[in-house]
Amino acid sequence: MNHNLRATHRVYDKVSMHSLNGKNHSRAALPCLALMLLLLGLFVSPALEAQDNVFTGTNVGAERIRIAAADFKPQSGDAQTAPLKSTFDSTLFSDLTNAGIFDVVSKSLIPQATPGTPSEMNIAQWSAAPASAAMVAFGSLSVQNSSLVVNGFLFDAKNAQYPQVLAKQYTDQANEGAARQIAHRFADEIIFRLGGGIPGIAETKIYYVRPEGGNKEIWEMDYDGANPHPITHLGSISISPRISPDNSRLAFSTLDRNGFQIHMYSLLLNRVVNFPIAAGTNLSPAWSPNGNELAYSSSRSGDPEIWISDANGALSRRVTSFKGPDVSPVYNPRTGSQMAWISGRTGLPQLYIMNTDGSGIQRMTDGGYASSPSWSPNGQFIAFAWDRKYGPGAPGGQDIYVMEVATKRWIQLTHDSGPCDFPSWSPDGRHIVYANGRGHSAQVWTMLADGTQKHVLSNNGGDMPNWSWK
Amino acid sequence: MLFHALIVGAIFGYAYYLRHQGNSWGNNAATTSAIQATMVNAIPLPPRQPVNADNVLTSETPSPAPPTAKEKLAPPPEPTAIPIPEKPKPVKVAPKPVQATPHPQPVPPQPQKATTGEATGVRIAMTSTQTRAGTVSIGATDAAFGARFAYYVAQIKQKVAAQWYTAMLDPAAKGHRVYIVFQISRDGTPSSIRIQQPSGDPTLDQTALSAVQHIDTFGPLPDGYNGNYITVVYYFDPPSGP
Repeated sequence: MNHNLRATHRVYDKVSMHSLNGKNHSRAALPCLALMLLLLGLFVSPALEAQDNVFTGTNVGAERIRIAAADFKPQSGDAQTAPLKSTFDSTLFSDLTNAGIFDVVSKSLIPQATPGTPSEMNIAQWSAAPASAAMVAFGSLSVQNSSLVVNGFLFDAKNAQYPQVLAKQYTDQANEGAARQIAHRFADEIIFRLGGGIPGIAETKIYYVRPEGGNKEIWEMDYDGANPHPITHLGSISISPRISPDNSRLAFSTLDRNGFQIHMYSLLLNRVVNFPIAAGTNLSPAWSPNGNELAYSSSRSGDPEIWISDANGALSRRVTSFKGPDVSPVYNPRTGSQMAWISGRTGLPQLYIMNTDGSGIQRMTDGGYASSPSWSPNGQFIAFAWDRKYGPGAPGGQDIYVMEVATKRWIQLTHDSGPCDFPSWSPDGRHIVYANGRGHSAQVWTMLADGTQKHVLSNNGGDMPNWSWK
Repeated sequence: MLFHALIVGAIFGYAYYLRHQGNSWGNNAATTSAIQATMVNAIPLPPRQPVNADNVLTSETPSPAPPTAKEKLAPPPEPTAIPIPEKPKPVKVAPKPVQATPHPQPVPPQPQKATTGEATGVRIAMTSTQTRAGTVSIGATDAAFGARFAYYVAQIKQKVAAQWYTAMLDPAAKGHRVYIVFQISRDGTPSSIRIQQPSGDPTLDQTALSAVQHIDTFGPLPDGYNGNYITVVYYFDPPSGP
């Protein structure tokens, strides 16, 4: 019954009531009449679906949301509370800053008050200058019986009548890692709610290659560079790590006595699992978005070509057949039916795309030296490293570019910062992680997909980063 | 004395004689005059209607009052109306066997929230209305979606505006605002995307339509919202020329 009553409830954004008024009223009258008949006649309640109308439009201002992250209120006298609170506050602040969709109010501009509950929140204090926040994240943090309890709230400072957007409670062990994790989760929830339904990336990982003496091992770190730790201990040269879509396996290429071979490391078993050895050099694996296939470059037939096998290395088949090296395949994560790769069939390596059955080949770059493509999660863009004027004495260098697949138009994201290579998209499509520098001096950097907010993530060397799928 | 009485009697007798023999004014007896004249034109009064005595509305004689019912008197009470109490005889009752009281059964805990569906973080004020069929509870209908979930509307705005590619617009076209209507279901997926009111510029219409079609999700509808979908009317203004 209450659905029936709410069915005629039409809502408009304040922006523009003026022009459609008459039309909407007449359209609203029809369901209203039907509703009255239903109510008066039978008192049955057929499931008329509840519905609300929103009226909005473009050119009405779409700017980044200005959000303030209040310091959380400590609500226990435990000695652990203060350090955990400071970890939580700083992590939440940096997560919101890194999200790319917010204009985060500086800590020096926010009010001194630390509201812990909605009743303690004076929203006018936050919406007024100098904070001028449109959204406020706040809450309380306490340590009870060696477990950490965080109550987080998100308030809409522009909506005095119904300010609450989110209310979340998290409980975990009372340690630094858990405090960071809770902050990541809360930040992800905020980003998910305010960022148009795209899940946040604060809980994602980055896998990268770290040189150690003459060896290279695969390492893992959080998306913000925290908590770096090694994954492999093979004592060899392992390159191009690629994490599977379900975060359970890590494929990479390792130099062993058979040359470069694809290796598979299970993150569930914490050991290397079997992957068949093929002749020649096997490089640059790439997971299909459903996790059932692995594409890689193999020279088992004499010429480096793209091969596709299942996740266990069986049923391998060849996709490309032109003379010249074909390397660095990457699936279109949106469809799984297309693939971008680098081919040297016309001389210098260029960026190509094709269907996964080898048909529909298109060349994307018109010259220079292209390498290491990465297809964006929404399927619209390919990021790749490109040296547009390749050759001795040519101006410019190797930089990160993003190309729109449909139009082949590109933009350059890095400038004058040394050689940049190995871009990898974040799962939300808003960030790109890449390597800057060569050899042992290379570092893993991250930036927004428009080239802003560049900052370094690794502090002790890192190369060939790969962002996890979720 | 007799003379006085004679004079008084003569005066009354003359008056009596005059009353019966003199001219009687205002008497409309048919015998007074042979000619009747009605001067309707001179006097500004409505003409009198002839009176029908049978008509109770026009009759001037009041109809007889209806007979009033006679008040009935209550019959006098019987002599035995009030019983005379007698002394009750003591009755010996055998004691009944005591029944065992049932052991208190544990009450299963009632769920605090719906067992299916997600728990809402926001409570909506409910209003209840009593009807003949029962109590009807409805969500606070004064809270319009755009006012209650302003952040979600802002997000729709931002998301569509970000997907609108104006490069394919015909700059010379004479267009005005185009209105696109679509629905957002519970999980945030847009559907039923159509043009409600074209702008007159086909390129504008097409780019506006594809802007919404490009979007996979707007994010799930807010937790506090109970409906299954919302209908969005979105307008695109052509960018102002240089």
